[in-house]
Amino acid sequence: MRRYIKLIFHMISISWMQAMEYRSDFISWMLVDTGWSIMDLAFFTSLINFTQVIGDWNKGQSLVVLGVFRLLVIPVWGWMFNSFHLLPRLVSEGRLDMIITKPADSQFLVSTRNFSFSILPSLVTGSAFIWMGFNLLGFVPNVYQILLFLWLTLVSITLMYALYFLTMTAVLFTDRLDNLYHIFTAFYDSSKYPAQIYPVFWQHLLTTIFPLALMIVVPAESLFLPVNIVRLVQFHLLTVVFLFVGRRVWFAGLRRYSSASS
Amino acid sequence: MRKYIAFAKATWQLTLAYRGESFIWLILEIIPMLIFISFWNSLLETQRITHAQFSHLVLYYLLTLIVSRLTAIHFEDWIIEEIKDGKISRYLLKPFSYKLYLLSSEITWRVSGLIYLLPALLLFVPILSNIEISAPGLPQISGSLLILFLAFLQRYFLGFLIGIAAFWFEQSKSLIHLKWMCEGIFGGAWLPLYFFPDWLQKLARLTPFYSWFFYPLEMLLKPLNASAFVINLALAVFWTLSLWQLSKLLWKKAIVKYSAVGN
Repeated sequence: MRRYIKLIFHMISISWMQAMEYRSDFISWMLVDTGWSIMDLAFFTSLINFTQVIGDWNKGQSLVVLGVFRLLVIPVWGWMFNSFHLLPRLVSEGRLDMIITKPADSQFLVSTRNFSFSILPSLVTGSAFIWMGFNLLGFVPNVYQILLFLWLTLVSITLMYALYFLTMTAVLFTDRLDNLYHIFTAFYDSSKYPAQIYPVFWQHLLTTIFPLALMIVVPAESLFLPVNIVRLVQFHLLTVVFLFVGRRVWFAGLRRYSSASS
Repeated sequence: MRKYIAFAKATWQLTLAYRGESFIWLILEIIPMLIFISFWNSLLETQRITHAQFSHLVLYYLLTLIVSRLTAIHFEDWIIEEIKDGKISRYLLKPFSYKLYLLSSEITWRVSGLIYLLPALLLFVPILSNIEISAPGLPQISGSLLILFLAFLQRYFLGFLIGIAAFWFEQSKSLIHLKWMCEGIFGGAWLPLYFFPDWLQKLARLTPFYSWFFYPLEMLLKPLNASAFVINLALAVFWTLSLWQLSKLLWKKAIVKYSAVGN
């Protein structure tokens, strides 16, 4: 375990050194991230000014959810996207050998290849949106709600990782899908809307088989709505199930994998 | 001309070889549209919008998908990589125009995109049967197609400019995001422009992005206003010519500046 913690710190420090080597690039991507936050805010406020509600959420609640969405952009784009977008090329060009022959867990190595720090402005904008949302709602969450939110955010990051990784394992079963890493991020973008906007069948699907509607909503709603125990249990169970399935599918895929040099 | 047809044929084979990737691009464009249609439907069910508004919005998003498939440009990333790796040399040393080569392959990708789009549109038949559609007249369709043709050229020239910016900046990929933001907000790709404040709508009309989505779609969905059409056509022509001239000028400067080793 200590070896893996050391490894992850090495990967983070290498990524940081790379970021500092190309500082103008780093700054321009920070500006891009800030731009996306502003666009998200402009989009959401324009939409809700017209419709008054999004699903069951009012303007304040929607802003809190948008804030949580921006905060969770950090692990999705700063960590998962940066590591996983390399995987399709590694497979299609036969370079995955370089990873699976190393004396460490292959899932760990492909999942921690690269990190980006230029996404950090989202920490500021996300927190600002949450603060604006609570200002509109006229209350602040109590300590218990904040602790629960932090725990659920952690579980949500694990669920997102599990789903993203499971999606990426498809590259081991196909010839070439270099753009596969965009699929999860597109679904992530859609997860900032409440499940109530979908027809009943889709609501069931998006909270069970493809639990995309839970990723942002469960931690965000814990800040302003009473806890739904059944949903919390379901959220935790699904996270464990998807982590397990992703790992099994990854190893099944590796057994099929071959390249000219392997 | 024959060599560009040969390039188009080669690209066509690529589109068939990598059908999985084309299918993923289609899914990526359908996801946001399905979400919005669900969203408008939920507002219709709770009677927050009228059936006429719902029909207008659903059609707007469906047409956005079609326009996006027909006119989007995706080569910027690829050009930037080729420039950074010095691989662009192989195109500069051969007797053909790099810009026309890109244009011929991009048109082929657009045509192949239709193959995936047309069956996917069947998914929306149940929704279409539930909305009020007033068929646009011939002047509206032809005017809209003309604007969309100019929009395609603008997108092509702007994509080319973003790509060749890599000759000067390391961080030119960030310009692609800037383009996406502008087409989302000023072009009406995310929301019809009338959702935004007046000042933003006025500003959007002056940008090239206005003719990428919002204006050609509004032409199809609303009665034709001849004077507005003439003004918007003139603006679209102005932007097309400006981007064309700018791309010519910068391309000349870029190939003078460019150097690579080992290619």
